[in-house]
Amino acid sequence: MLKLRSVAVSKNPVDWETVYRAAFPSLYRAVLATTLDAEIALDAVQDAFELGLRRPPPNQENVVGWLFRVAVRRSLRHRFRRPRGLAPEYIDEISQTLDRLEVGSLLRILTPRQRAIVVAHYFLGLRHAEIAMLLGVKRGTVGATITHALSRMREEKAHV
Amino acid sequence: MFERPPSELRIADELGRLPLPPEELWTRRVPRHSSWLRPAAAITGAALFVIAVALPVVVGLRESDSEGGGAASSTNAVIGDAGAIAACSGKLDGGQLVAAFTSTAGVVADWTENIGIVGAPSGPSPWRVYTATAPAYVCYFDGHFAYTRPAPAAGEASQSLGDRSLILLDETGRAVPPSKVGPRSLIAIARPGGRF
Repeated sequence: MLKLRSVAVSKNPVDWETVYRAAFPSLYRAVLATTLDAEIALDAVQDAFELGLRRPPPNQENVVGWLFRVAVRRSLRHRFRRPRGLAPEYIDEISQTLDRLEVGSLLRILTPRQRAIVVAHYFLGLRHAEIAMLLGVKRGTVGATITHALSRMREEKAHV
Repeated sequence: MFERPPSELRIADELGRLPLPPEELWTRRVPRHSSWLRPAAAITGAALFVIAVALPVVVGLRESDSEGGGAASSTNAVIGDAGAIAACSGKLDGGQLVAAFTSTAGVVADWTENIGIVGAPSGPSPWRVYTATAPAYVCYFDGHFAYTRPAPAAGEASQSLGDRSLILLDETGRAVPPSKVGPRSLIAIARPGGRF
């Protein structure tokens, strides 16, 4: 997934779709881990792709980070359209997988913002400074949020 | 600064196992530009279509039906406003009501003063004695009507036949001048306004 961070994006929609498709698996999983809802996650990621088609990101050094930021912001607004064609069986499978995985239950105790920062750092591999820039917060806030979130997750894990 | 994830929290490993949706759903087939713009545009377009195309066609068809002759018009619905139709019905013996419109004395006064014929008598309309907002009814009848018109020879008059009559009623149902009798080609069905 880190290979994509330096991929340059031209204004050619074909290039953008290629980049997006390559980024989709990690991007979708990251947004899903943040929203914990398959439909909201897919809708938000699709929105991010379409926004990139119309207005490519100005900084093309970190396309995955840009897509993640757009998708997370869209998902937090809760103004989503239910994606067509997402089978109920798939939605159930996602829900069961999140319940089964330890990290799924640990992420549930965090706020969406904490989840977004933890996922961006430990799953997408973004640095504190990159997350701070993408989410519009101070770098120290990112570090403090990660520390606090990990502490809560460890506490929860110890209790289980 | 990038920290390694805590060894006891296998975040990346576990999230990497989340199943993906089918590849054909990764993008939408039709991009969404706005959640409200399309329905609004559709409603506006439909409204414009009704105003610009459908309504004139329907009214035109109904009017042309009523122009088709007394026998045909007797079976057709009357054009216009329900209140005016009720007020105008039966007000002209031998005439078939074909259209009736509700208006006000002010509008009818303006209309009847706007004759547009050079040399025609001019002056305040009898409708000026009413308050401008007083109800007025415009009634169109089809039939065979005899009327007197000036003959080419000065001082004489001749009888003519008309097949349409226009009369104006106040809110009590009393006919108030002016009225018209003549051929349908010269008395087109219209709401008050413009040239009388």
